[in-house]
Amino acid sequence: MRVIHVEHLTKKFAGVTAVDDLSFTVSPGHVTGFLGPNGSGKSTTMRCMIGLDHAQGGSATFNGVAYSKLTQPLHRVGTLLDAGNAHSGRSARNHLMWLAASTGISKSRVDAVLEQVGLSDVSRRRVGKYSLGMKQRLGIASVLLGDPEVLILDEPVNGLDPEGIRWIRDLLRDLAKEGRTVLVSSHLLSEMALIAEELVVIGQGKLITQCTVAEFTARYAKQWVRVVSPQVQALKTLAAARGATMSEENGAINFYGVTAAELGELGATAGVTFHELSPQTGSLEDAFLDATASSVQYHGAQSEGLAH
Amino acid sequence: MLHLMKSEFIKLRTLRSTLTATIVLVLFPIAVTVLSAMFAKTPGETMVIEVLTNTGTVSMLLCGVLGVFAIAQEYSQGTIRITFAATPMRMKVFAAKTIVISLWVATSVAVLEGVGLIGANYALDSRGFDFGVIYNPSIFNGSSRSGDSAWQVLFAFGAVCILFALVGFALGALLRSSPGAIATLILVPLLVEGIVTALLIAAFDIDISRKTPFTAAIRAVQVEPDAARWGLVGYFAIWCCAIAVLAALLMKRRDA
Ligand SMILES: Nc1ncnc2c1ncn2[C@@H]1O[C@H](COP(=O)(O)OP(=O)(O)OP(=O)(O)O)[C@@H](O)[C@H]1O
Ligand SMILES: [Mg+2]
Repeated sequence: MRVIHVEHLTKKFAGVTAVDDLSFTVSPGHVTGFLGPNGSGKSTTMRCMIGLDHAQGGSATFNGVAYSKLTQPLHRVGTLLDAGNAHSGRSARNHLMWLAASTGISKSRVDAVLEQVGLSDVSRRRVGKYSLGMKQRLGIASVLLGDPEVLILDEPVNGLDPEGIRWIRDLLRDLAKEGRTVLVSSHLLSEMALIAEELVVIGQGKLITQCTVAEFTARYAKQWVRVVSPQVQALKTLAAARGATMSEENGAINFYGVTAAELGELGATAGVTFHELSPQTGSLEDAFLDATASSVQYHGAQSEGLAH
Repeated sequence: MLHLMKSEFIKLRTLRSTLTATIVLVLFPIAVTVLSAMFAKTPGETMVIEVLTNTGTVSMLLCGVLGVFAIAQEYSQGTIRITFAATPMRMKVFAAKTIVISLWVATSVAVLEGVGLIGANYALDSRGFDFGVIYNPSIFNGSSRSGDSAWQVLFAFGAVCILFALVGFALGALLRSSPGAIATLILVPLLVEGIVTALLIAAFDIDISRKTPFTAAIRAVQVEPDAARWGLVGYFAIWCCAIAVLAALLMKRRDA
């Protein structure tokens, strides 16, 4: 088992609590998405996990061992915090060379990872001349260098084109399938839904929920019913009496707070003809925005979700 | 530790800025020394060593700049996070960096002194002067009042260069910015120490001119120092170590 445990992690910067009593678990075998809006504390959490930032409280362990206690951490945990963390005046190959040398990794391994990420042909060019996508690939190469069993990546698809995103997705999924533990952050749920199976969602440094992508959508995505009917006025009156709310959209009426079945039955008793009666689910992005809108709102939503 | 030292060596070797600084710090005193040996009216051992160490002030400062680069560029370019992620024991990184930068500077200074003296010797030979230092550096042909041999001056110069690199490294680690650390490194010896000394004398009649650290370093490499040579080197070394210890403590404690 190569499990990451984050327990009650707390990190404050002069006045700002960036990470607030955060606990979650990342298991091997599948890609875990670390999701939160901008400034929610994802990067700070990751820096604390690998001991770059000193947390005020709590812990992060890899198989029960703190990162700072790992021997040869490059072989255990590969991290990509920011693709820009490479000296612009050095070539990609030399960048990997010093990193490899620090742990006694061979030159041939450097060339192998450069090959794997598709940078072999440009490996002697200065990193300053690289596009963002190429820098991301170099960052991935540095993560793979020690062939680690745990991978932590902060927004690795940032700046990648669709082909690059697919490449990362396939790579991460393959690595997870080999039994590795993969934690990937993003502030875009749609992006994460393509890559991850499991989600750790945070807002304002606090855990919102940890669940699968499907559970998350089911729990937080807005549901409503779209109706097109010549006798819609009668239906609106009946539904309003049941506490439903409505909005109009391109000649159709959206009903909130009632199911399609309920509306169908109401319509039948009143002799309403339906031209359309269809249940709708909001986008993942909307679900995410709702879930992270505010931590207060969200605690309410979460307990509600659990009660159902 | 050897792995880490190799890693730090690769970092120095693969940057244009460190290579340029090294080439300048080696070539500048050599060029000036050889030229003065070629054209000076009354050349001699003392003159050659003096020119070498005086123009070497530039080299000392450049050694400091190298020290700054070795750490401040890691902060400005973000690689420090990769370095510390690969080696969570930051004091090991600190040690590896100081060792490698010291060896780098020591090698550069050895080349500077060796080539400078051989070049000057060759120039003097071709003008018909007999230059003794190369063949017998333990004496100045009796020309040194302090009784110090040329070796003493040359070694003191090397030691001061290494200490400059160390203090540059420490300032770079404290300030985490190349421009800030380099400005401190150049302005304090050349300007601040003199101004503070003058102000204290004017205002309180307190004379600290013999206690300012960087001035002590420059006094230590004179052919005829005004105090015990190794005492001056030691005094500068204490300051450098104090700043380095502070830098090490903060490097350990601060978020990277
Ligand atoms: N070094 C620092 N000093 C002070 N405040 C900081 C520091 N690093 C982060 N913060 C603050 O902590 C909070 C969390 O920031 P963090 O970068 O971890 O968020 P994030 O989830 O990674 O955001 P993004 O999606 O934009 O990358 C923010 O309010 C940020 O301003
Ligand atoms: Mg971030």
